[in-house]
Amino acid sequence: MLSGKNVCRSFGGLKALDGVDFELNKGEILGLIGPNGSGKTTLFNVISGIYRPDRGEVMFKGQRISGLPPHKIAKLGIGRTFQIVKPFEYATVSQNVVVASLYGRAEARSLIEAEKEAFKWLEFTGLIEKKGILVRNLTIAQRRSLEVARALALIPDVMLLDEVMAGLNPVEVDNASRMIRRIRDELNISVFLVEHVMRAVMGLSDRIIVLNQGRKIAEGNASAIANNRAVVEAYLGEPYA
Amino acid sequence: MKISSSLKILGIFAIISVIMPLLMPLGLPVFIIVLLSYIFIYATLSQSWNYIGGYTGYVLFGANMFFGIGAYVTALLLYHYGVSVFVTAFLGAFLAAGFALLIGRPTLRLRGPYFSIATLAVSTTLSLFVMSELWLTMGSRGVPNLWDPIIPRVGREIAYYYIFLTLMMASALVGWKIENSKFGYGLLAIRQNEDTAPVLGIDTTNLKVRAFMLCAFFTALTGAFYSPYMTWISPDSVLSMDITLSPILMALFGGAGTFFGPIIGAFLLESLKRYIIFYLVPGSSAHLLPFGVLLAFVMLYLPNGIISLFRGRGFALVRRKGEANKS
Repeated sequence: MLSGKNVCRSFGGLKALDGVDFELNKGEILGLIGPNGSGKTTLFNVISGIYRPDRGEVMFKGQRISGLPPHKIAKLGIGRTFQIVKPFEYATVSQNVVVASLYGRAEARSLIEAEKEAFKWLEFTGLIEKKGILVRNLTIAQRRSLEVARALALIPDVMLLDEVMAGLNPVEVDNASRMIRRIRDELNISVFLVEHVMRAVMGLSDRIIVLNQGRKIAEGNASAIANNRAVVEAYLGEPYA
Repeated sequence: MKISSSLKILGIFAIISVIMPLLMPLGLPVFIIVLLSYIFIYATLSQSWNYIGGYTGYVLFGANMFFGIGAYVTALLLYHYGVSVFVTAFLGAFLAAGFALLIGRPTLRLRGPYFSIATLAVSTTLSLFVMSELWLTMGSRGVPNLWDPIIPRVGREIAYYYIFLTLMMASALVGWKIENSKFGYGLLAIRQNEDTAPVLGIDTTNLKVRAFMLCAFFTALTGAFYSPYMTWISPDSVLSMDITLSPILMALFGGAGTFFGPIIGAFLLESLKRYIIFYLVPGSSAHLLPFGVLLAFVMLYLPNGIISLFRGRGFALVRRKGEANKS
């Protein structure tokens, strides 16, 4: 469904991504982990078109998408959330989602239709009661749900979730995990997941890719990754491996 | 979406404005009609600026070039060939919109202040061009004797009053339409977070350019009718910095990013200006002092403009408190 071959991206002399290959299959939850600065968010930015890869290519549903502008990639069916949430703070919760319903693949023809669409996703993410309030009054957990609702309103085939659990308490983490599962199971959307909360990412992911300093150092299921020497080394340093 | 209360107020206001000249036989002095005409002109300019400056947050700093294009196209065709403003106004407006496309395409791809600087530079260049290319523009002497063949000379104040009223109402309705449309939601997204807008499927450059072209269109239309209203134009009058700055002040004062804000701003500031320079301190620029004080006061205590005093749920897109402080 979504794949990358030899994706490279440098910032000056720093190789943020150095020949990364990945493949996200239909109906899969693919985890992406790695220490800080390992290139996870850069990879998401390359996929969603915010950065162009220096070398390599990203394919989506048989089409080469690297090089396309972000709004076209969004319309093809790739939704994403931001690690640092970027809502429209001085708009209401429902307006935030309405924008996506109007411009995404839902292509709502009127504002009323868009609002109906938006309510559906607010319902799904549990934000429906907050629909009329300004986003700046939401808690961080609610803002992260809103990012997800907004991405869902695009009607995507693939969701890129960039640390949707950062800053959440354990109860909220469980809620978020349940929501991610429902996105895959009920909406049939493939999920690419960057996460630092290991308990969640290990439990959710069908497969996990590990990045370190822009390179892929491991790939496999949760238990294989947990026992992988290179991974433990990357996180904790050599003596612990 | 239901008709908002602000639109109803606009309707009432339109009706009052339409019957106003009928009171002239009862002793309503003509200067009131002239004053209102000027208010309508500035309200239209302020509204046009608001399309790009208010809704997207990209500060246009050279609206006078569009005003000048509209005014000069009409003036020259009227002076040389006697073509009526009702034809040339649209010619000038489309020309201005095309010009906006030309400037907007490269500069609105960028974020930040580049757009403001570029528009300032282009408008300055255009003034110099008009001043120096005597064969075409007649230079700083300007273009005289602009009497429209259709608009009667007797009672022309009333004719222009209705023309400028129509322009103001049309531009306000466009503003209202923007706020209640897909286009408006796209602009809201751009203004509030331009990182997010593209990943929601919004072609940000395209929307910004369209808002800019709309602004150019209405600004040039106003400039076009301004020419025969004045009967004589020069670079000093139609390409002055005042044409750029006053509408911005009015929009900020009344409430940028709302279709009602610019109208309120134009009414208050233009009335105050006329009062000061005709009655209080005749023939001066003394209005600038209270303007500065008022603007500072409004920015401090009502950062969303006067409109925020009346805000209800009807003003869907106007919640932007403190936004001006963010980059």
